[in-house]
Amino acid sequence: MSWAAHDLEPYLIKAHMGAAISVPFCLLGSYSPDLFTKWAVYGLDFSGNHKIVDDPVQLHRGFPGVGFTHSLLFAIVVSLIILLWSKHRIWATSFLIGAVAHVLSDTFDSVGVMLFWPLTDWHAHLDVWQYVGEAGRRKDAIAYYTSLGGAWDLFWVGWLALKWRVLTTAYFEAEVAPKDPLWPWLRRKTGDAFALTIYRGSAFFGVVSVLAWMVWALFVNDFEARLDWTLGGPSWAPRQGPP
Amino acid sequence: MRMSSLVGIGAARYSACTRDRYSPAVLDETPPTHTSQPGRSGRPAVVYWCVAGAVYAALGIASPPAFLLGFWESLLFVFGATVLAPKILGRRAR
Repeated sequence: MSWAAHDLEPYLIKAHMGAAISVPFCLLGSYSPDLFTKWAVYGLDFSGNHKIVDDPVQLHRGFPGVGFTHSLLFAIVVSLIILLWSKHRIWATSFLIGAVAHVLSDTFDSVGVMLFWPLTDWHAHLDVWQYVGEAGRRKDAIAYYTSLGGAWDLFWVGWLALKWRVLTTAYFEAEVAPKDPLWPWLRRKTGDAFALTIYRGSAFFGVVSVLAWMVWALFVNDFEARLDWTLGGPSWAPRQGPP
Repeated sequence: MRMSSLVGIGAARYSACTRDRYSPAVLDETPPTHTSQPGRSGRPAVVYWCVAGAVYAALGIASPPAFLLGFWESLLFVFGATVLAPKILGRRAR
């Protein structure tokens, strides 16, 4: 699984595709595969000691389970529903791109995703880092941010730093708000500050959480607090996923 | 011929000759008041948001379960920073 990459990808997609992307719908697409299941994967608290399902990996990425949310078909079906409901092609396309970006990002871990479900339940997995979600949030954070997963998130932070102007008020006023009917509606209902908060919130959290988690994992936490940028790391984590 | 008529004819000819270049459709286009290239004027805002990010990161490092588990947890902080930004930096530097 990827952590902050899902928060940041939509802004980079927006920076490169411009008016063809609605950031809220791209973010919704990017969050959608995990939206209803992540809490069940991790259990009820930060420690991971209060599990609510026996096999979090099967629930999150398998079938039976809700692993179908990490398939291309899920992204296509939900974006078609959005198109039929809204008649707005940019919203539907943005959702599709966000969801596909999430699914492809998740192929980097050891469990991978059922990319072509229901044609096959084969998992596309590149084994760049270990899936440790079953151990709870705390250990997953340590595993992810001390492995190449952390490097993956840093890559997105660095890329967004180069495109920082997409986060400015000027960009929002000139390139975002006038080109997506969602924003005038939201601004009328809630005001400019709230609309800007919704626009920038995920980017702010994504960037800050990468840096904070890495500092916490390496300097505050006392469990395996060392970088392990080997393929398939960290080495202490038990192997999960298909062979 | 009265002067006012000559002015009227001249104005009509001028209008006809220049309609392509200065047609109402063109004149009605409002020049962009914003730029997506903030340049130097964006620097205070960049510093402001870097400081805001550092504060939130410090909170997150101190208590990951309270601040780092989902982006919705940061929304109140981002909203506060967004409201404060124009007060601290001026309206254009949010």
